[in-house]
Amino acid sequence: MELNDLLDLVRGGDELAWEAFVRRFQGRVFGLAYQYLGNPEDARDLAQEAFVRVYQNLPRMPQEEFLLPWLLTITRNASLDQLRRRKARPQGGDLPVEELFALSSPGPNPEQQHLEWARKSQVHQALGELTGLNRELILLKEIHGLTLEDIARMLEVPLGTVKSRSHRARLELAEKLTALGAGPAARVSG
Amino acid sequence: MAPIDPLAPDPGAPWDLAAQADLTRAILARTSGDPCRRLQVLACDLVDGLLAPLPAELAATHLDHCPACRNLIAALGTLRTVLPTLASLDPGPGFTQAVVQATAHRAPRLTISPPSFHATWTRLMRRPRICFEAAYLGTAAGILALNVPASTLRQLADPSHLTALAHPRAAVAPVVQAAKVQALAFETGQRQAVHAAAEKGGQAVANRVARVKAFGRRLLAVLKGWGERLTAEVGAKK
Repeated sequence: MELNDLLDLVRGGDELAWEAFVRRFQGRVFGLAYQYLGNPEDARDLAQEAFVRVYQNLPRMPQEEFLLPWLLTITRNASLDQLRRRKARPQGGDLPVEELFALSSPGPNPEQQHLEWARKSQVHQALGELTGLNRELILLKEIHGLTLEDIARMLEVPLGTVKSRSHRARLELAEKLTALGAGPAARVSG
Repeated sequence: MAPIDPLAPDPGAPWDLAAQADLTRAILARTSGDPCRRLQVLACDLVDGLLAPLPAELAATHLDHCPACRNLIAALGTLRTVLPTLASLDPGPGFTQAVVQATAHRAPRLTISPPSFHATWTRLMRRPRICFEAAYLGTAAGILALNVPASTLRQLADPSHLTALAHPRAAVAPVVQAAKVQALAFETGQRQAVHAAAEKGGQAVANRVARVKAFGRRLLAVLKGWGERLTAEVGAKK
C-alpha cells in the first residue's frame, strides 16, 4: 500500500490503518528515542508517548515527503522534554550498547552477527563521545537521513551552520572511532 | 666500467620508503604545510564518491603514504555503512498493541470545531483597520439609502417631507383638494373630459407647428444674411 493512501486512511480514523502505521514507523521512533535517552525501557515509554501525540495531532499529519521529519520532530521534542525532566543529558559512556544490539535484528550467521555487533558497538560508543550539536547532526542526518534543511528547521539553527558542522561532526566521529579501535577497518571488517 | 649517473640514488645510502616519507614530510613542512588537513577537507566527499577524478587521484596518492589518513578514511567508510543501520530498532514484542491500546480511548483531535461567533467578532473588532472599514461601510450605506427612490431616508432628507411630518394635516390638504376636483370632473361626464382632452391635444400640435415655422424663418434669415455678406466680400475683392 502506498504510504499516502495509508495516511489518508489513518487521518480518516481507520483503526487498522493506524495499527499498520504504528508497525511501519515504530522502529524509527523507538530508534531515535533510544539514541536520545540511552535506555530501552525509557525509550519504549517515550516512543509510545510520541505515537499518542501523533494520534492526537492526526489532522496536522503531513503528506509522505514531510512525514518522517514531522514524526522525528515529535519524537525529539518528547525526548528533550524527558531529558529536561531528568535534568541531565545522557553521556556516551552511559549508553548500554549491549542492550541496543540485543534489540536489533540478528545477522545471517553467528560469525557475521558477531562482526556486526562489534562494528555497531564501536560506532555507538564513538557516537556517545560526541557532544551537543555534533551528536544530533549525526543522529538526524547520517542515521535518520533527514535533509540539511529539515535539520536546520528542527534544530532552529542556520542552514550554513548545519552544513559546515555536519561535515565536521562526521570527521570527529571517524576520529573517535579510529581512536577507539586503532584501525577499525582492519580490525573489524578485516 | 659503467658510467656513473649523478642523479641515481647512492646504493649505499639508506634510501628506503621510510626515508623517502621522512624527506617528503620535511619538504612539505618547510613549504606547503601538512597535506593531511587538505585531505580531511576532502575526506567525506571521497568516501561518498563525490570527488572529481583528479582530486580523488591526488587523495589516493596521499593515502598510499599516510597511515593516519588511511585509518580516517576507513573509519568514515565504516560509518557510512553502519550508521544507516542504526535508524530503526525493534522496540520488542507487544509495543504495537500497547500503542494501539493507549490511543484507543483517546479521541484524536479530528473534530475541528468552527470558530465561535464571539471569537470571530472579537478578532474582527480588534483589527486596526476596523474604524476605516466601519466609516466606509456607513458612508456607502447612507449614499445608497438616499439614492433609492422609495427610501424612507430620502423622504426624510426632503424638507417638504419634513414639513409634512411636522404638519400632516396641512400636507395632506392639497391632495384632498385634487381628489375632490377629479371626482367632480368625473361626475360632469367622461365625454366632456375626453373632448377637452382632444382639444388640448390639437392645441398642442398647433403650438409645435408654430414653433417649427418660427425656427424655419429664423434659419432662413440667418442664411440670407450669410449670403449677402459673402456677395459683398466677393464684390469688394473684384
